[in-house]
Amino acid sequence: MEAPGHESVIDQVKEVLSRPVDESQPYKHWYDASDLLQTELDKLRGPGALRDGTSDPEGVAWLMAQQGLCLLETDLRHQGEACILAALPRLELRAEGAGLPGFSPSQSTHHEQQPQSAPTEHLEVSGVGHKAIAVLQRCYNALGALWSERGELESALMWLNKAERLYHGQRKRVLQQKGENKDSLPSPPGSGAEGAGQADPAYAGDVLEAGYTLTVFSLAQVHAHAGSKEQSALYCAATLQRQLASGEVQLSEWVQNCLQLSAYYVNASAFAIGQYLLDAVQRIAQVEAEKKRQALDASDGQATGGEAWTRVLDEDVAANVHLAWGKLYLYRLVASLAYMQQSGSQKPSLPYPSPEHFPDLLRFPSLSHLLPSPEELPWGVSALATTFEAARDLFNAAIPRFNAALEYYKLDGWVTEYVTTQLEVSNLYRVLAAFEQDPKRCAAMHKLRASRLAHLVGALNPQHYLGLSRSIDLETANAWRDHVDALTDKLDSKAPNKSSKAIAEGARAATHSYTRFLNSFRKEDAGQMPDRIDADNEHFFLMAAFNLGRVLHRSALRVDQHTSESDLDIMVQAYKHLHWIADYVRRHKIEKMKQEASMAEQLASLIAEKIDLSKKVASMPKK
Amino acid sequence: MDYNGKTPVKLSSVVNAQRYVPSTSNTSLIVGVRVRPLLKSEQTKSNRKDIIRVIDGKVVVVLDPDESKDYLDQVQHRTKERRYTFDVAFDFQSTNREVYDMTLRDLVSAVLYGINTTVFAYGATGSGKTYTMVGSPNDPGLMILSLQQVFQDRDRLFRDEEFSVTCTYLEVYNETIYDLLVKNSGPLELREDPEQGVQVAGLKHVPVSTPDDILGLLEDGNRRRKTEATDANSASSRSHAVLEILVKRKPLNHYRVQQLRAKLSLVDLAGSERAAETNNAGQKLRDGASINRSLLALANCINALGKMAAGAKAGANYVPYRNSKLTRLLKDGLSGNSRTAMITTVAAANDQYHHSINTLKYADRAKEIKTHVVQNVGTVESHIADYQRMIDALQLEVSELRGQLMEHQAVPSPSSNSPTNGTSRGFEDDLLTRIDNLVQDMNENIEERINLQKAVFEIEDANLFNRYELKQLEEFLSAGQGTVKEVAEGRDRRADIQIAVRDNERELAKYKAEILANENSRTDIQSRIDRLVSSNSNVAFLNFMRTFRLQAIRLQEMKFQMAVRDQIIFEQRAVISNLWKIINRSGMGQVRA
Repeated sequence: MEAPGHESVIDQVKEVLSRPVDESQPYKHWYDASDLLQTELDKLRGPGALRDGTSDPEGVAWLMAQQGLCLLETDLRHQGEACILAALPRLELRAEGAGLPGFSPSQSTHHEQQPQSAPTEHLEVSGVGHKAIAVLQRCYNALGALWSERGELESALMWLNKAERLYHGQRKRVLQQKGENKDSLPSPPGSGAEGAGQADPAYAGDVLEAGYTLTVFSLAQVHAHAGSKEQSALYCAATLQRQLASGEVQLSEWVQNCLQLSAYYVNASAFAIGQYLLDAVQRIAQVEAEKKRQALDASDGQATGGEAWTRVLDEDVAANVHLAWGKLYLYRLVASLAYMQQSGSQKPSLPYPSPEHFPDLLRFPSLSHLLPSPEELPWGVSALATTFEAARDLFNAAIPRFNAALEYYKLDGWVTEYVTTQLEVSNLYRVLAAFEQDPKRCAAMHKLRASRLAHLVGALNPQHYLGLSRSIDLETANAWRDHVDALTDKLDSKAPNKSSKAIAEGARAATHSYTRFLNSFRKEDAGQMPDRIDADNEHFFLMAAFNLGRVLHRSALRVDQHTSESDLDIMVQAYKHLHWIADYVRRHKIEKMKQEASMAEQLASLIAEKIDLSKKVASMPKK
Repeated sequence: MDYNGKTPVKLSSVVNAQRYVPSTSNTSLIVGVRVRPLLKSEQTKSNRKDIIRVIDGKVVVVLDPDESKDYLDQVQHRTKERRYTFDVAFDFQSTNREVYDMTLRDLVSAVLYGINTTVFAYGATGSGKTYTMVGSPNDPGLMILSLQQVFQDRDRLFRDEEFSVTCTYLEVYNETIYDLLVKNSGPLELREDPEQGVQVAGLKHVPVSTPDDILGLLEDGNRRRKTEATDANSASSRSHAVLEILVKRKPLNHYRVQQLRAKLSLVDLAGSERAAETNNAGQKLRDGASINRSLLALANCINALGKMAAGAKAGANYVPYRNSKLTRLLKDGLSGNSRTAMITTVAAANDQYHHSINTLKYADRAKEIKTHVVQNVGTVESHIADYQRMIDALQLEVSELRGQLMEHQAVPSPSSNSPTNGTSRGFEDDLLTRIDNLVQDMNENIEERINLQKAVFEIEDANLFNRYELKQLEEFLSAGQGTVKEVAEGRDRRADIQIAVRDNERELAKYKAEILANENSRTDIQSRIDRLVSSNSNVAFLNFMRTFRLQAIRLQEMKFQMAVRDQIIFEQRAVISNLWKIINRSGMGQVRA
């Protein structure tokens, strides 16, 4: 089945395919290769052929498969597919005859739906060489890719699953021949056993391994398109591991991919797995750094410990490693708060609650000696902080990471990254403050949060960074608002004037930032608010507007005989603003904000009453 | 957003700036599709046929390319025909001018008024993308037509103004930027300046005063792109070319008027058969050996996974995504007050079916950008809670103020200050009717409760007396001192009383059940009041309802307490009277101490 006697045409095909591609005739070399194979096929089917049409049916199948693979690279995909489908029964029959009962000849219909049921253990390949298996594997992979392009994902999965079973069958056969333990053999992903991530050149050739990497990667894509995110992520991890095992990876690119995959798990609150991937990144970088150090003369002063690992990565990737760690801690903190604030019976269980749920596909066997044991990872709710002290630990772990990232992502040159990271830090303060029981300390945290953003207020040209400058204003405003809320909670009955003054100052700072944010929506020419804010921003706009109504009247908190005209002016402003925003909601029939609008009107009405009464009280003759 | 144990903070509140406040504003995206006819060389091939139809200038139908369908397909009407609707669709006859007029003309006009505009051309290699963007001398493409209009508008509308146009032309190939306006350009750095925005350091800016000026530059640039592409082995289909036209104008003698500046970016995107790698397994991915090292392809897949995980709200990267030079470059023009158009090109030939479908699918998704709304979960509740706190605090303040005034003068009723809606008379009448009904129900409920309670008291009191009498009778009978007649009467009386006690207990249980039902009814009325209050947005009525509710409840409570007190006094009197009767019957005199 390795097409003996056709070596000459194989060499010719290889030579044709290695030629530079002419952009004006992108498929020419594929057509030429196909023509060469067709000529060879014609020879086999010529006068010397036997009564069944050919003297070498296996050779015909092999050549047709090769021809089909060539044509699938061109615009003649339909013909390419037909060639492969015609060749497959003979290829599979040979495999079946050699002990592969799982391979019934493929049907040449497009709509074949074969269930993925044949367990790996049933596949036995004997007497079939690696090269023949590799051709079969290429055919399955190619058909999987073809059907994926056509958007027929079930068909794509069917072919790719065949490719996967073929690989595992071959691997198992070779391992059995070597007398290794059957129980340790790999199983397909999803079955809970390891395998897809390992590349063991002992049982199969490089071609088969490369082919299987393609299978795994294609499965990652097809599962993603089918909406099976988790399966897709597992196959992405398997691809990463196989790339690592191949030893041909570019370190920074690989690390960057691993960071992104970690993000997927962290976003899904699977913090243990997210951390495992980040640990893997750091260890690999450390190993690489150590290799470099050993390669150099120890006397040249190269640093060996500490942050040496960052020097083997591209600068931006090293910064991204820090960012990813910072975000892992931040997300854990946020999840902790959400968990804490949920009532007992409603508390959700987090995914991957214990080491027993650690998918084998996600493990890096080659790094197992470097990585912490799974038991040391923060599984399920153990990743969450339940006390202020634990929350503070997460905060303290995150801050240096964000600061390290900001060493690279400077404002000048990396505006987007710098600002987004600063906003993450602000978020970190916000969440930690929620764990703080003492309102005074809580207020101080929010003040610190606002002060960390202060240098960014007005620092960006809104013509170029409208979204970012709005975000800065809104976050600053929210920080001051939260500061005011915390101060209001601790309103000191012994020193009411002092508290009121601090509240009013905070409220004025919040008012200033909310006003900046809202004014960014004004029309440039006339300075008027548009009749309606664009759909993307309307929600943020309304939220800010309602918040402005809230903080405005707190800017003028003193209501007594000393209430000043300016305080009354602020209250009038708040009254008008609340009416305006309530009217906006009513005018545009924004159902989601109806309740807020109603309350804003109620608040406005009370403010009006308060203004009226304040004036009357102020005009009363003093006793 | 609130915290501090008051309102939940959800995981979705982990945001970064881009998601927090979308950078897009007044975004307008036009998606147009242009179908390229069969080329002469294609027409001569016997198996090529045209499978795309444009209907009503908006709908693109891609016919099933399979002529020889399976029997099963035919009987089950299975077809691969696809249908897509866009803002505008152009068939074979359309010229570049027509495409321009229907998609870009208005957008280019807006550039002169300071609105950034970005135009993408997207499609498979050979689908007519570059023809649409650059065109030919007889049918100039969108790049040329845009520039022509800029200068025509200048001559027509802004002749007396300071007016300048500068162009840059660059290529993004393999995440590296090259200048197409200079020979042998090296890689250029992209950086973000807080004041100047996205900058390509060292990029040549060429002042242009006529459309012809740029034609030569474009030709040179395209030649450079083409040359490098050949060297790089079919790379042109993997590179993006970006022509940026920066327009500045300032009215003369208007010292207070600021300079208006805007950017028109025309982007010739990489061939869709390459660019769409994240959307399908892709031709390139058939090469198993290369995927071992193809970290970029895997990055696309993982990145797409991240976007899926975060849902439609996404857009923010967990860590900065490296493969995004073009996005970063164009972000400036896509944010703020901007307009965008995507011109998608597809070839009509049947052998391009899959390329065309993939391209149209991509364009179809791009269309959805228009309706994308960013959600911010969890904030609504916190607003309401905060408002409620403030309302409560203000009510207290108002009450205190009123108290201060009370010392000096009468305070006007709260409703006299509150704005009422004169147009909602019917609504108010309806509200009053509902309040009347509630009052009536409340009264009936209280009356029933009083009566039931009275009945319970009476029964309990009767049984108290009965049990006392039973005790007396037991003592009398056990003493054995009475006559036969007295003993017989005593026994009869005892039996009667025992029956009465049992009957009373049954009655008592019944009344207690009725009290429970009455209590439920009261809860129901209370919730009706709450509902009325919470569903009503009229401030005056809310205040009125609050006051009314408090007063009504207080009144009813007082009424109930008075009734109970009266009842108790009455019962006590009766008990005392009964006690005297018993004492009298036992022969003791009414001797007062």
